[in-house]
Amino acid sequence: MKKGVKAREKYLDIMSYILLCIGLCIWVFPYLWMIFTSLKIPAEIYARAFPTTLTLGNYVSISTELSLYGFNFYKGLLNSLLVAGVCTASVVLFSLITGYALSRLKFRGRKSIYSFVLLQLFFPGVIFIIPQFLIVIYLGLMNTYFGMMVTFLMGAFGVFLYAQFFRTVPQDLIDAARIDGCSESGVLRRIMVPLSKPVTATVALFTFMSVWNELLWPLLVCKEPGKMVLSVMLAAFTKGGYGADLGVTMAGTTILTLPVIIIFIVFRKYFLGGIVMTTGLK
Amino acid sequence: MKNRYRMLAFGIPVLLILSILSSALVIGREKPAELVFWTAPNKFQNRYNKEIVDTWNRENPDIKIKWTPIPQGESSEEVIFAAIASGTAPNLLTNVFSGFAETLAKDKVLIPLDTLPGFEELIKERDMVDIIEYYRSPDGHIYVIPIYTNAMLWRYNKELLDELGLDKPPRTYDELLSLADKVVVPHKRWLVLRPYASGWWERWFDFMTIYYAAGGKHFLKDGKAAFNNDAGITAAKFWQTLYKNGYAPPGIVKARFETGNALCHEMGPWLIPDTAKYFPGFEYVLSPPPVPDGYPENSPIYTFSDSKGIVLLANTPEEMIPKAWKFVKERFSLANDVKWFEITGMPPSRGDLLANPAFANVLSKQPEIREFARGVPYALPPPMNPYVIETQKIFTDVCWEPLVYGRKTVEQAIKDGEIAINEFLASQG
Amino acid sequence: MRSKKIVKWGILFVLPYLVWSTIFWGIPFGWSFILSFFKWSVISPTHSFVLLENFITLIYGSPIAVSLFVMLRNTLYFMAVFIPIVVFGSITFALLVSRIKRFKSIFIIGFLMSYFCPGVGYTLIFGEFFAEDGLFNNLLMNMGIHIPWLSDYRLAMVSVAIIVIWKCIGYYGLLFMAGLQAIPPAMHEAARIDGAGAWTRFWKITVPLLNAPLVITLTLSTGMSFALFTEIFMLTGGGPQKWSHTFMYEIYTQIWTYGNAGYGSAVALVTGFIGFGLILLIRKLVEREVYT
Repeated sequence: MKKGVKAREKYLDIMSYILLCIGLCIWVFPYLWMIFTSLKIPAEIYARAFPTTLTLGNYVSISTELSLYGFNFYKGLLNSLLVAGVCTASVVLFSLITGYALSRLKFRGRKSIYSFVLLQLFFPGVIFIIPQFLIVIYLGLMNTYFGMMVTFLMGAFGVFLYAQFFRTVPQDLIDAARIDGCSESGVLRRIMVPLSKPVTATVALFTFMSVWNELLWPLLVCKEPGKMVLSVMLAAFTKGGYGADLGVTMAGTTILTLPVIIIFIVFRKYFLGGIVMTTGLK
Repeated sequence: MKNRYRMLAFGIPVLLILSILSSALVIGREKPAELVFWTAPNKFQNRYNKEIVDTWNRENPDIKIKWTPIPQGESSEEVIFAAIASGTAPNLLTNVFSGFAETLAKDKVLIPLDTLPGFEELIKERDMVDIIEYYRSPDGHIYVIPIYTNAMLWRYNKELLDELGLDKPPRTYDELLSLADKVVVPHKRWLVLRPYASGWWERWFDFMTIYYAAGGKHFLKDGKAAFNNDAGITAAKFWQTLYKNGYAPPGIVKARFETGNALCHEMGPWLIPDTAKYFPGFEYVLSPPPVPDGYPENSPIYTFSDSKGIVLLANTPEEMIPKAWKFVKERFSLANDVKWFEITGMPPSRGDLLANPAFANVLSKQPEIREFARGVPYALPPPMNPYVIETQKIFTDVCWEPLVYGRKTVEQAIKDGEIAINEFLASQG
Repeated sequence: MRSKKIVKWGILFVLPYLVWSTIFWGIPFGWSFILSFFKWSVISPTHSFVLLENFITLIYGSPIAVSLFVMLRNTLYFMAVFIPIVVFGSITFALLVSRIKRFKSIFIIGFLMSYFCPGVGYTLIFGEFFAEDGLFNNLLMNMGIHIPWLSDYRLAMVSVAIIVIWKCIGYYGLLFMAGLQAIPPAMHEAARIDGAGAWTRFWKITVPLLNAPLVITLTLSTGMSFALFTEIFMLTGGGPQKWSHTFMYEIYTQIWTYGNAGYGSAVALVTGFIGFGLILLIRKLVEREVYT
């Protein structure tokens, strides 16, 4: 009887591996296809599945192809980096201090403000887009870097995570520091920041990722080629039908996609942790 | 939990008050220090524009021109709207088609060019006295001067024509459709490579081209739909036949025409250098769009004119207007028109392309362009109506899409389109 | 006094966030209500108070606006295809990965990568797959089949669903995996001793105890269904025949092509409320207290 169960267990194990392997191949296929196509020479793109000749030509010509239409591809890359980078720094900074204040500093109205933060987590973003767009127009921020960043400079998510984390810091630690003559900003700098490194990593990674991937907002706000972010640039280029061949388009897609995938793989620990934390939220 | 409700009860009225106050805020824009010039995002046009702007800036250092090609979202019109809304609109703008100029003119965004000194002379000199009439607004003014007129022609794959034993392309619907059996391979090779596309501007290249060729004169006239007539119905029936039988693709096709996946498709002159670059050696034959059977042999065949022009926006400071106008006039000089034709391959909107020796060089270099130049007087632009975009969208939704997918008969679709458009136009006042 | 200083710092630290929230969250929140009662054009400076006209147009549709019914139908159609498959798929994925001993991370990463891929990126790739003469049809051609992935009105949303399933299974699977880990093995052991077979154990123990991740998955899926934009924008343009025209896409079209901020706000509000309401409904129906 036991032997039968063991055999069946093994059988199921092997089946699981097989199914997962097949699944993995299917799931990763789009990336592989994208990378292969970007390395193909024009003649082979529709002809064969696997390229016989690999070429980096598409990566070179994507810059020239796009510049013929007024798009500066590598500038777009820099723009994405700039916008995502600044937003990340901003979110981390302000979420940290706000989360700290809300969880550890006693002042009036603290509870109400915290409720306000939680409230913000509830509402779907769809309601806000149009008025935010109008605000950006009226403040003269259309087609500016600041305009693209403005709705991502801070976020309730980060505040919440930091607040939750700082709650767990033992009060004795802070009291000891204060007795030793540490100023408030010192407490922050020397204790809170170093302690919260994991949270910082999570918030930074998630923020960078979501800003880099964002399409709708920068699409609305900035159509000037010099300041466009990469996602908008690729979208505008392919939708405008400028007749670049597929290899070039895929080269551009690879450059847009690969960085975040690599970041994800390298820092997966923090992403996995962050996902778990968000489920705690719900 | 209680805190949350307290927050809401207190917060919402405050927020409402704040929003009412802030909605009164409209910050004024500063006047530009130089002339801002936006053009269509196209590699060849960019080359041309760079040259003339550089020349201007050299010769006119006092008022420089800042030139930027504008990108497209789904269409450049949307970009312009946003720019106007945020006060970042340019002073000079190209890539404006007739209807869009009307839309802008209606909102008083444009300067009527016929009120500027030297307008009549410019038109006469450029031999566009007849052509400019297509662009006269209902209020009698001219707000846009067309730069180029791309008469839409159809091109046929020479190799396929040879295979079929034809020495010239089919002329009528029947002739074309009769080739279907020999040409069409389901889902692999099409008769006409015009995938159904839902963008409002796409109607220019399917319905309107065939409609004008069939003798239709107006899509909109005097603020009403004007396509519910024989020509309109015949044209629509032609397209429905193509889609119903799978002769034309129902959706996006990625492979290009030059890969031999169809007998014919509509073509504008901008594809000439494009084909030469990506598919050198590809042979094709140009012809006007097919006409209904029974169309008189010697009658000229009209077609759609994909034509864009230049406008001058009213946000230009008064003291800069003469300079801006000077730039416009210079741009339309014979030498610049020849240069334009050479670099972009798109026929300038002049009536003298075949007659004027200055163009002989360009025409001889690329024989295909001759055909397009020949078509310039017979190319009709989109309607001069401020709601061209909306009406074409309505046409697509109410008439064209159901027709393509076989959900309505042609007569019903055309009639519904007419009613919907008229209702809409009436409601706009 | 120490506490005075703390209070000062406290207020200082929260101030930036408060100011920002007021301008970019609070004001838009209130303003969107106001806007929805106006005809507010982004281009021309005239604004008119039209009370409920925007909402009426939304319900009945107009030549230049898609009706609420159509958008809701499309979204529900999407959900009907997306949710069952994604739930089934993620639970299966979670079960399989929980089961194996080695290479767990590789599989998790492989399936999870797609969630973090930029929208523009994967829609371009899948666009090539779904084209009339794209990769999928080329392969199917060998079997003599051709599928109009994006050109048949019934299939367009299904194709979009395929893309989003690809995107989300890893993520939801991870949630279920955490849920599976939370089930004490003792329960399975006890049941096994009592003679329960694997199938019975699955339905009587595993599934009920996966209630929490299930609710979260359903909530996230619903939210995602109401926020569909990039796929529609890049691939279908709302078609064919408006069968993939979603709420977000309509909002984008209204504000961008027509400059109707007022109408767009009305649509956004209704979308937000319906989506929110649907989530509450789902939670009510599905959420259960589970005792381990």
